[in-house]
Formats: sequence, C-alpha cells, structure tokens
Amino acid sequence: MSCEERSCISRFIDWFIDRLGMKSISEFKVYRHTLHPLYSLGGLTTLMFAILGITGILLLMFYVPVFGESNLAYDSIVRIMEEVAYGSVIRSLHNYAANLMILLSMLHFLRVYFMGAYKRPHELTYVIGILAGLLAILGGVTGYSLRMDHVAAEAIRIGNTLVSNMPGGKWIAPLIYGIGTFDEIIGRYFAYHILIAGLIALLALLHFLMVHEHHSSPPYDGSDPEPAVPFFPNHLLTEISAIFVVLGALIILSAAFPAELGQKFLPTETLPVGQPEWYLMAIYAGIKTGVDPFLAFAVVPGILLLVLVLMPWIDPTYSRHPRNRRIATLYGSILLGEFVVFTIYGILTPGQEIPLIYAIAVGSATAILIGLPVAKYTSKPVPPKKADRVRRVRHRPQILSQAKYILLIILIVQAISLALGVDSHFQELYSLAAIYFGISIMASGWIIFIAKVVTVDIPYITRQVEVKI
Amino acid sequence: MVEMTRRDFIKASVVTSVALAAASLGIPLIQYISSERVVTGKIGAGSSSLPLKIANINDLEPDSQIQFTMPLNPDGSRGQHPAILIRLRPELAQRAGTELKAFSAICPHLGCLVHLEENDDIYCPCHAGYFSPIDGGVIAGPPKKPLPEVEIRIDENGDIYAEGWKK
Repeated sequence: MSCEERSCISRFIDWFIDRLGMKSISEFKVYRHTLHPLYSLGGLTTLMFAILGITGILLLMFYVPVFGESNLAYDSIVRIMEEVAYGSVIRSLHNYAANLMILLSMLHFLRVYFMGAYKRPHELTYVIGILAGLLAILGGVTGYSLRMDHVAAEAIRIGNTLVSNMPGGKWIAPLIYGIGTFDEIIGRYFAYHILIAGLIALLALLHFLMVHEHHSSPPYDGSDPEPAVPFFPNHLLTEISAIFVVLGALIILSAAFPAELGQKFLPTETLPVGQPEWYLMAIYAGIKTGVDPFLAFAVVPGILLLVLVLMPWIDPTYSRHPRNRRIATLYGSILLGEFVVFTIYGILTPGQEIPLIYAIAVGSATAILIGLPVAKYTSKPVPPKKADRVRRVRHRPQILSQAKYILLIILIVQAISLALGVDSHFQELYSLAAIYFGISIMASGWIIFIAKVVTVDIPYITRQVEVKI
Repeated sequence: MVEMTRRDFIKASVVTSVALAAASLGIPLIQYISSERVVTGKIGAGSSSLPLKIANINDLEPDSQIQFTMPLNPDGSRGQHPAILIRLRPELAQRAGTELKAFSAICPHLGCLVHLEENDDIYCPCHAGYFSPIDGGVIAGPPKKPLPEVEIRIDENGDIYAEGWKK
C-alpha cells in the first residue's frame, strides 16, 4: 500500500494503537463538562507524581542513605545542591512537585466532595483517592525526613515519641524505627519512601481504571453541552501541551528559587527548633494544645477523616447539588475552615504552646462563622435545573488566521532560549541554563496547544447562542 | 522558495518545537547523570560503649552543658540517645550536693531536644517545658514525666564518664 492518501506517520500511529490493544481508548470521547479547569486537578496531581518519580530516581543516584559518623545523608544533599550539575534544579523540582502534589490532591478532593462526585457508582473511586492522598502525605513526611537537616531530625524524633507513647507503641515503634539510631531510621524511611511511591502508583492506576469504567460524574445541574471531544487526538494533545507548560514552569521556578535546606543535624549540637511542613501544621497545632498527643494526632483526625470517607453512605440524597446536600456541605466546609484556621494558627505560634481554651474558642468561632452562612445556603433545596435553553453553534475564533504568525513567533522565542540555555550550560551556569531550558519546554507546550486548536479542534469549537422562546 | 501549505507549516513547527524541547530536557539530564558521586566521611557510627568518657571537668564552666550521645536508651535497648552533661552553678550545686549532673536531652512530651538555659532551668524550646537541673523533674509546661538521669563518675584526672541510666 502506498502512503499517498494519508501520511505514513499517521498510518503508523493507527497500527501502533491497534496492536497495543488501545483502539477502544482512541475511540473514547471526553465529556464537555470535564474540560473545565476544575476537572484537571486530578490529572495535575498525577503529573506531579510522574515528575516525582523521575526526579526521585535521578536523586537516588547521588543520595547517600547513611548517617555514619557525621550525617553523610545531609552531606550528600549539599553535594547534590552545590556540585552535581543541575542537582539543585532536580532536587528543587522534587521538593516543589511533592508539595504541589499534596496541595493539588487536596484541591481535587474538595472539587469531588463539594460537587458530590463521590455518589454512585463512584464511592470506591473516592475512597481509593483518599487513600492515595494520605499516602502522598506519608510520602512527603518520609521524604523530607531524608534530608537529615534540623527540621528532619526534629520531625523524626517527634514521630518516634508520638508512636512510642501511643497505646501499643512499645511494640509498634521498633517495627517502624528499629532500635532508633539514625542509621537505622534513614535506611527505613528510605525504603518506606520508595514503597509508598509504588503503592501510590498502584492506587492511582486503579483510580484511573475505575474513572474510565464509570466515566467522570456528570455536573450537578445535569447540563452537558454537546458535542463531546474525542480523547484521541484532541484531548491527548491538550494533556501533552499542559504537561510541557507545567513542567517548564516548574523547572523555571526550581531554578530561580532553589528548595531550602536546613542546618546540618548533629546529635551533639544545639540547633534551632524546626517546624513541620504546612500539611501537618493543623494536626501539629492540635498536639500543641497539650491534650494527650495520641488523641490529637490520631484519634481526632482519624474520626474526622473517617466521616469524610463514609460520606458517600452518610449523604443519601440523590441530588449532587451542594445546596441539596446539607450534611455533606456543612461538614465539608466547616472541616475545611478548621483546617485552614489551625494551619495558620500553628504557623503563627512557632515553638509556643496553644492553650486548650484558645484552641476551643477559635475552633468554635470558625465553626459558627462558617456553619451559619452555609446552613442558610443549604436551607432551601433547589430543584433540578432544566436543560439550558441554549443552542451551540460552530464558532471560528479569531486566532485561526493569525495562528501561523503566533506559532512562528513562539518558535523563534523557543529557539533563542534554547540557544541561550546551551550557552549558559557550557559556561557551567546550570541554574541559569535551566531557566532558559524551562522557557523552551513551556514554549513547546504552547505551540502544541495552538497547533491543536487550529487543526483538530476546529469542529469542536462552539459558542452558546440563547434560544428565544 | 518552496510553497508550504498551512497544515504542513503547522506540522513542521510542532515537530521542530518538540525536537527543541527534547534537547532542552536531554542536555541537562545527560550532564546530571555524568556527574561524579563522591562519598566522604566514615560510614560506621563511632562505636561507643559504657562507661563512656564525656569530657574533662576543665572543659566545662559552671552553669554550662556539653551534649553527648548515650549508646543505650533509658529503657535499656541499644540506640543513640542524646544526653546533656551539666555543671551546675554554685547555688544549685550546693542544693544538689554535687556539681555534675547528666540527663536525657529528649523532652518526654514530644521528643524535642532540651538544653540548659543560662542562669535558669533546663528548657525545651518546642513548647516551653522547664525541667529542674537538679533532678530532671518537671517545673512547668506540658511534659508530664521527668528527664531520665544518667549515672556519672569522675576520676582522679577530672575525666567524666557516663556509667548508665539511673534506675
């Protein structure tokens, strides 16, 4: 057969997808409502996880998981930051991606929760998502402990004390911490950190398969404007361009603002008091009130979380609209408020106790200030919205005619930044080079995106037109 | 010049751009992987056993502390337990009947490291816990248990040894 009618490349792609057994995916349609930015949070979390996997493997090459006589682990990180080419960028990328993964998974959770997306048949998808999010936090804790700076040593010791003092801790602590020397703890945390990454990968895969099988949940007002967009190639290209843009932006951020490293921890030196990472701050604020630590770090957060996990069964209403789900909306918004308030409270009181009475006062005030308006908001159920009286018509965006010039300009910018990057690279100014390379990668994302919009997307670009009755 | 159709131009620019992006990722990666891994420092922890020489009395001013690491945890298991040796200021030494005291440096509340504040008590900076430098008992703050005390001995040369944990 000749390659005349369709290009050889596209015929090869067809063959490849067919033989991979992914023909069904290539015929998959993406619902319009899932193109809203709020629906990208889960995907961005996955992207962060992928970046973490790759940068993590790269860091394995230079990290030394040994305490030895004088904290070799910390020394190896200093070497990564100062002597290994692009080491600072790779470690900062790992650090930013870790924090962003936790933040994005929380935002993704909020989107799912408040839109009622956990409802039938998505209950287990939701539970597995929460499990993966908790593992991400554990991955963060074991990860930042591997730095062995003063913050890490503090975190390890506090963790060890909390676990040892909880009921049954005498037997559990040695399983996690060994005999408690830093050599043992680093080796174990290192192993757990990688184990957790593997578990997250498995759960994430399961999560995707379930979303694929059950489809993304419909929007709560039942509107889903047609036409749906094909996954291949339209949506896949959107995702690829987003990957390039986000990756490039993160590289620029990591090169411009390298991740911090605390002071070297040595058992015989007095060091400043470290503070936990932001995602543990609310729980840490609870511990600081002086109540029984087991209550503060395990029992109370555990019960609050269990209610969230069970929400698909607690919240029985059929409607997904937040106004019609009074229990879920009230509980979620108050819990979110408390989390934010106590995170801030914890950050504002470093190295100080929070008197229990203050904590109770602040907690109640937050609950009332958020609970009252939300109770009012959910007092009147809204009936299901009637289908929009709109019609969608084909739309030809202005950009089409200028696309050529825009592409050319971005391409020139990309070529120049790549050239500048290579120049800085050979001068061994690796951070500067990384900024230029980041711009070049971002530019590529925009080019793919624009090219996609002006070619394969055209039949799907529509505009709403009101229908006069 | 060869005429290019609009579609060809878009395709060519995407392919070029992706190739440039691949170079932007590949160059740093190759350079990173070609870096050298150098490990300096001793891998084995300094082997220490009891009795453990901490310091000489002449190295320690009154009202000051020296940090050291006990090879045993207070419950008798092996470990690296941070501890502090304190030379009491005169008025406290009189009350305690001895000049030298040593305690675990780990706050029983949450596990932060405690230290001796000058002209004051042993202090935990995490949540403002205070301990007596005479017997390690809690004076103020959230901790509920006292600091475990280390048995110490001083020989005729003024060398101070940790003997073990006081029961």
